[in-house]
Amino acid sequence: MNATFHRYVKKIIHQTDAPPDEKEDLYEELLIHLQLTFEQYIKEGYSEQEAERKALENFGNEENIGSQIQQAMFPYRKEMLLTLAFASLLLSFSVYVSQLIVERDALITWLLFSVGVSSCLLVFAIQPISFLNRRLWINCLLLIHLFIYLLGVGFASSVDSFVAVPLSILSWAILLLTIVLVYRTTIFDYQPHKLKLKKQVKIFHALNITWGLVIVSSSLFFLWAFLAFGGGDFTMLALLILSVPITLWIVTYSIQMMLLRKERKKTAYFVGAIPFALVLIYLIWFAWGVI
Amino acid sequence: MNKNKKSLLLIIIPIVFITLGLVIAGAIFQTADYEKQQGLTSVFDVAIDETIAYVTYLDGKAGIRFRHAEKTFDKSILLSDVDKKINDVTFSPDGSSIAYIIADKDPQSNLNSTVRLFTMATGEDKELFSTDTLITEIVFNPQDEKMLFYLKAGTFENYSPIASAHPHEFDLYSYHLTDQTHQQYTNLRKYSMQSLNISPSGSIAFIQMPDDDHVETADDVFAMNQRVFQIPLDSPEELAVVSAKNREKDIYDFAIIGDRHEMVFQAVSKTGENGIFEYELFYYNWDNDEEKQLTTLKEHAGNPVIGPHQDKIYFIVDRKFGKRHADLHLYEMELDGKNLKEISLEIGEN
Repeated sequence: MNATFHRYVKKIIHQTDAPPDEKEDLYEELLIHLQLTFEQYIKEGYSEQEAERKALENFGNEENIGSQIQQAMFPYRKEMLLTLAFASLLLSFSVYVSQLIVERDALITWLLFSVGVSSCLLVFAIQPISFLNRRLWINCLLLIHLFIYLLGVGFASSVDSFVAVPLSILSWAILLLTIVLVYRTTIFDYQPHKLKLKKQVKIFHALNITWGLVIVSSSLFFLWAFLAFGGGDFTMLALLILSVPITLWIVTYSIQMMLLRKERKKTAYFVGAIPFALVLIYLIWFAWGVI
Repeated sequence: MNKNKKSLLLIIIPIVFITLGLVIAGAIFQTADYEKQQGLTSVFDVAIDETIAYVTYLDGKAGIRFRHAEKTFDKSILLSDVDKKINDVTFSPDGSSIAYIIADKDPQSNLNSTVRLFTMATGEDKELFSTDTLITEIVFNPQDEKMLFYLKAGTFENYSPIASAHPHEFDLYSYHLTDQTHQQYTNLRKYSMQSLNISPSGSIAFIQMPDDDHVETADDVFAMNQRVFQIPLDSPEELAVVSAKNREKDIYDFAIIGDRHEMVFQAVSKTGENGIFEYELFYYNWDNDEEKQLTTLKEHAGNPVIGPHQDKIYFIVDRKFGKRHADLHLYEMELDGKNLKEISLEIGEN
């Protein structure tokens, strides 16, 4: 098949961040469509060169087409990512400046990390990177973003000025949008076509993300309490408080997904009960006021 | 270069420049915690002529300023070292001098205290003694201006991994200015001691400390209360609780009212609408067990000091209690809680 058509279609596909099996289907579909148009022009009496040029012209600019396909496949995702990135940058600069003016504290490390992660989100939103832009990468970025801006909530609310209120509201809104994007990315945006038990996979993702949010936030709360009342020393015990429940959650989550890929539904439910039990223990602990 | 990349560069380049600018501004304008302390502290004392000595911070430097309704003072005490703080001040019985304690702001790295004496008339400021322990409170013997009582902590550490560092192993001592000798009265090594008061006769010390006489289990520790004890100085082993023995809530700061077996103390009144405890001042007579609430400021009232004529209570109110920075104000009122008013204090240049 025509090498120019291959290059052209590849460029379009690069503009999207669909999963590989979906990209393959899209690639074939576009290529066949181009080839048919090309053949139509040949039948109409155009030379091969002219027919190729006319077929490409007829299709339009590859960047625009790629962008339109991306938008059709992931409606409002670009807008959501852009909103998150710009709102996060605005919050980072505002909190940093407020802390510097009011408290005379320079949160340089937090500024660099928060601007870094927000800029990465901006890059993902504007220019999808085909070899990176997978669910794992975006979710990793969103989780890092969530953690960094959780600190941002603390920094925003601790400014001893009236600006603390709007900054806190903005920071909580950013956290909420990040969580929504984590759910969306995991459950809806990247589902391989060939996967069976699709419905179960979605349910398992939704449950595990919820358990993950509870487990990570509870672990961070215990860590904060430990550090705050323990004089700020990051000891081995502090590391265990943070790492053991989170590791348990990650491992059980991965095992569940692996079992679902092998269509072992019952075992997946059994493994899925472990993080649920952990969440239940945390809730009972809170409810009884043991802490 | 495609359109997306161009717009991305147009956005990223300003972000990089703004971030770099902010980092440079931060490196220039940030201030160490030690240099941030500003304004009034809760440390103050009132002399026989109603001169108020109060400790303030200006850009982290501690100082003692003086205030009198009819007099002006051209002298003040200012520490040049931002690493130092003033733990306590006490006027001599005749008001001619003031003793104060200087300690390191970070006792964990440098545990030491120096007690100095400032003469009001001449401005002479001399060191009385220095120690490698933490002296937290100091008070003159009302009957002997050459004698100072003080609370000394043997250690500053966190006793358990879930507790922050605090001074511990407290005992009561005295220092004789003429002999330059120290005397230890108690050997309790208490977890905490505060609010040292001496009776007008100079024979009894009153101290707030945990009532841990019957503590054996962890549950006992949780149930333990902070109470006011009297310690006869000639027989310290006969210490006894003078605050209400069955009071379930803790007593924090207190001040005894002369030799009338009465005190004004600070305790939690209730939890405010914002979820923060409201600390108020209360009156207590330990002869007839009468207790009544004196203030209803719904803030954090504390550090009571009884006026020299035993007709007024001076105390500090923190209007931002529970917030990142305290906002302290000095108040006075009559012993029955009436005629409450704020005393304006100059905080500016030390």
